[in-house]
Amino acid sequence: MNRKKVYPAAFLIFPLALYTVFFMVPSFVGLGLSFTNWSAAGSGIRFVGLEHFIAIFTNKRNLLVIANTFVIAISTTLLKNLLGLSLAVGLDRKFKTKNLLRTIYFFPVTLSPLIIGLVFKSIFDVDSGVLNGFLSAVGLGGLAQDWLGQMDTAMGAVIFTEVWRLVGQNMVIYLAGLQSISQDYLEAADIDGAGGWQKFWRIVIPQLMPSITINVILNVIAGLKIFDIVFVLTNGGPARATEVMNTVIFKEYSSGRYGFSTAMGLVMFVFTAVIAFSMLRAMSKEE
Amino acid sequence: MKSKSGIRSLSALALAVVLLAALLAGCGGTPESTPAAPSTADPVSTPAESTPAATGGTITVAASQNWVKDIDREIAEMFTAETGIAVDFQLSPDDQYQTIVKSKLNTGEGTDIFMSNSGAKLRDFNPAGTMADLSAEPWVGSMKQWAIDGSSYDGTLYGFNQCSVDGTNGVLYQPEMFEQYDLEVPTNYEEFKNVCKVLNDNGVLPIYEFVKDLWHAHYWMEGVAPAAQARDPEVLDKLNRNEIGFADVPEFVTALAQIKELADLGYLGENHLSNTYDKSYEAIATGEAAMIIIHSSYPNELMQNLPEVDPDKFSMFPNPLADNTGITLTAGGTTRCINAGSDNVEAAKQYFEFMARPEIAQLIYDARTDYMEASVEGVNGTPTKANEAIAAVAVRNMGPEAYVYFYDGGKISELMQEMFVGSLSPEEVLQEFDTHRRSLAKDAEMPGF
Repeated sequence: MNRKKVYPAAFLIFPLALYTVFFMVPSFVGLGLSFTNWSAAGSGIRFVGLEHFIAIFTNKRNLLVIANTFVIAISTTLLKNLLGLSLAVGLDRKFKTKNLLRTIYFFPVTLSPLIIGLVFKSIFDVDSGVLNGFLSAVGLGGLAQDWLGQMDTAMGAVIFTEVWRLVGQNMVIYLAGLQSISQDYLEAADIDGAGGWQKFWRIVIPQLMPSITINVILNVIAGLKIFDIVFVLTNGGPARATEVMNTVIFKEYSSGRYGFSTAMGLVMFVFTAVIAFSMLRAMSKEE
Repeated sequence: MKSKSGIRSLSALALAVVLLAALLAGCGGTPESTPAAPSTADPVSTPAESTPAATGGTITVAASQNWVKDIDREIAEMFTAETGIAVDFQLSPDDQYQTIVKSKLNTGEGTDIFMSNSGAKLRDFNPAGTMADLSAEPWVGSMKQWAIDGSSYDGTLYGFNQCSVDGTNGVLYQPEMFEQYDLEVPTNYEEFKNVCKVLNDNGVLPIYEFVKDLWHAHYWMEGVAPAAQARDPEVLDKLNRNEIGFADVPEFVTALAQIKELADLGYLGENHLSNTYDKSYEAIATGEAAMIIIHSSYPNELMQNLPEVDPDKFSMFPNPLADNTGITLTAGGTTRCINAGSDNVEAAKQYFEFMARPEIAQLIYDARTDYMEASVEGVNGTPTKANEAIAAVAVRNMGPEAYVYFYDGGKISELMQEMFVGSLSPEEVLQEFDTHRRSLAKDAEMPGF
């Protein structure tokens, strides 16, 4: 680092002030408000202690929402990493359409989740959806169904869409990781007679640990925070099968129950922070 | 190297200029005459007039997707032609409307006008805080009393009703079809179940249900209120005083248990969780489905969507769950409210005044044949045979949707979805709803909660 180029501390004042006013203060106020009965319908704010948190952790419908959130976070993390790594390995070779394919796979990352949700809502539509149309066209009409309206397929459809959206981001991070692995290791392994799998498991994966760590952490956080895709595709239905913490926060907030909504937000923040930090510590040791 | 660096600097400079220009454009004020930009949260935003007169400005109207029809846009265009004020309709999907509008109002980004269900449902929007007082408007004197009552809260008029008061929760059927299968109109649950069985055995879907559109499924429960009121005339007042909850009313629990039983028997069809309202027209008109619980103006609505349908071939009987024999009245459908925090309150009031003119109102009621009784004196609606049939046999009472504070049919329908898939029992549906409703009422510091 060139110490001569360090900027004066006064430069920090403006960004720190903005950060404090627009992030720190609302966060701490929100923390306090989650212990109150603050609502659109009420005229005052009264301290209600742990009432909201007790309601969250004792109501089986709220516990289902927490479980759904974890199901999405875990399954999308696994799938995005596996598919992202596979794509990265496949596209880390020299062939003509390499750059085109990389662009195509990365393209969904540049789209708004809301738009992706609307597009997939049309694709999954029971009557006019492309998916059911395709199944019927290839003689598999029996498999056509209401993907977003049935308990046993709605969650899968949400997970598929979220994976499709972000698999390209994982691929790019893994590609960067793969390209930073020195060829010397792989050549030395070749000389020692190592096979493809051995090289992959013994050299590539250990060298990719920083990429794996960042991908896993980002995906877990994205999974826990999922909202747009669920909101547009199913709005938490059918029968709460895809309801996640953020859709509940949104619904409770819009019904005017600000206190409960912020309490749920706090629970999600704690979950996200604890899980992300724990994983970061555990995986950093692996590196 | 030097030239490359020069090109880079130039590119960076150009980019910076473009970004700065974009930023300044974003910060710039919007001229009054520019139609409001549609929000990304609104799937459909359709200005009625895209080139308003320079002096007029624009008023925005939030509504649920099915609440605004072509005639509303035509009237809006006439209003624009007269005043230069453009009307921008911002529509949301039916199942998300309430959530989106409340969120916008709560964050100070509400539209100038928003639509609400009438009656006790007005309370959900905290009228005193979010709605402009319309009690002194010049059109109030020409409104019918039910239109004023249904749009008032605590003695203050907050809404302009241009809808209709009708009975909800009647079961619509085709007498011809009943004759074909030698069926009698059922007067209790057992007879109703038998009718469903016969129809089902003959390959006809007995009941068209669409739980996905959350405004509907709760009618099966709400509609048995007359049975509960027959047992205890004070039942709705007791709910408002929090002396009892919905789970304590045996008729409501029974109705939910019975509709679940009918679903389990297959009488609601395989797709009752994913069906949608708009697909009901064809199912009912073609006789693919025999019955639907619906408002009594539905036959006119059918005709609007499928002009070849004769609305007079339909009739209605009261919701027979819990052996109910009465029907519940609505508080007058939807009503239009002005956002108290809007900068365009006066323009919005002008719009209401325009729509309340008898000649304009008549245009609406001529086009909206699903409205059976006009809200404005001297204007004619379009009554249906089905409504006459049900009115002749049933006791008509104000139901929970119109009368009970913090009644939320959408929430009950959402919980009913979970009941249909077996996650909740009928009792649990109502207990969950009671908890939800009580917490809202408690937060609102309602007496007794």
